[in-house]
Amino acid sequence: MKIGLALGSFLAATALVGQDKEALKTALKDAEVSGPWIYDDVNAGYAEAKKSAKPMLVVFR
Amino acid sequence: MEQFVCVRVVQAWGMDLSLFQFHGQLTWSVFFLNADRTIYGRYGSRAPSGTSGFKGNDRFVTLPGFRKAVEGALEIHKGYPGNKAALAGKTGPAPVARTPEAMPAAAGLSNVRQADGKSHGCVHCHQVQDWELLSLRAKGPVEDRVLWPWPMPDAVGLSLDPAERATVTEVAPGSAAAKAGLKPGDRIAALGGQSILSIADVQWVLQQAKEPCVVKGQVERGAAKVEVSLALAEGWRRAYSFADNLSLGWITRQRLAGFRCDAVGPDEKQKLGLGEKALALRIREISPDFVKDRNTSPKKAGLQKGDLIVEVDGRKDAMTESDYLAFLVQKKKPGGKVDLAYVRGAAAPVKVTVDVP
Repeated sequence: MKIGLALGSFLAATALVGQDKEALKTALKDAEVSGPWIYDDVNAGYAEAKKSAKPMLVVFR
Repeated sequence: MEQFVCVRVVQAWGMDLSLFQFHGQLTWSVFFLNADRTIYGRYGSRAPSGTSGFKGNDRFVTLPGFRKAVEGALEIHKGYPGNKAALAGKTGPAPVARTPEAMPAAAGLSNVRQADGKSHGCVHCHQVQDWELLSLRAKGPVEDRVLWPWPMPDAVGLSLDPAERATVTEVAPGSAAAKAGLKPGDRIAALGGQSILSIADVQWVLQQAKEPCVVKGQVERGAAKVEVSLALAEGWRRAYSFADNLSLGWITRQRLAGFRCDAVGPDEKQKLGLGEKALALRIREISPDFVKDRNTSPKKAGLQKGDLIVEVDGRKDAMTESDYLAFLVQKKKPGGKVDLAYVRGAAAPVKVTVDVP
């Protein structure tokens, strides 16, 4: 049952990827990603790193 | 962490594969890089479950090891751009396609393009490796680096401490590492001309290594710096069963073989009256009907769970499942055929020819 629910949430999430990152984040229950993290947008990361002169740390999971 | 711009990526649709080349079977993987897309290093390793002593996937992701990789990345950033030329090797060769969804093997899949033709679904990181394999196989021979990707250091005889960047804990006797003179306690500072921040960085250098080749490195041994040369022989990547490499094993097993099998051990071979070096693969499972892209030919040819395959295209010497799958991937073109002989119970061997999609 739990697996079914998890799969259902995941499948719902997959349909949202191209549309709304906040919706995707909610669907994946990615609640711990907050504060300064940029969510699923590497190009925004490049822009911020260029502006701030900081290195980038890109996590895939 | 506040010294970095942190980005979390949760799916691979649109990912720039000319830059982000990593082990698709990851649980957690990190790139350190500059805003101009120069890569400083990688972190996060997942060993294939079939590798001796390396079961599980969390063992190589540790907070102490990650901290040391982070510190190393900051050191590189301080020296940038003066060190830019030395970082060139951390970016890989041209990929099969610029993005995962542009790979030929991804064409038409629902998670690449949704039914509305506009939005897209979630591309999983492991699918990048799967599609690379299938796309390359459609074009021609598939190299070992695709079937046995991201070799862990133990493939060359090195065990590394997951709490450090790349510190040797053990060296396998007779291995390439032993022949190169590496010793427990050595800290691998550079390999293949690249600075090393992590075990993942060692894997990256090994992933790019040819067969055969010599990979030069520099280790810190106490206060001394020692040059080493790892001589890698033909077939060095085949140190483990790629069939255990999660999706690569799954996809080749279901799509090409159409069954799962196990190599019969020496005791059972003896009971069966087979020689120690005889080919003996026991079918554990015929690909189930729910697998959409399975090879149905073995089932149609009459093969069943429990059958013992004793000959493959006239070959009678021992094979593992990994050997058999690699044979199908590397020696059989799409649309080819393979001749099998199998034994069921005490009956005489039966010969069948099955399709290889």
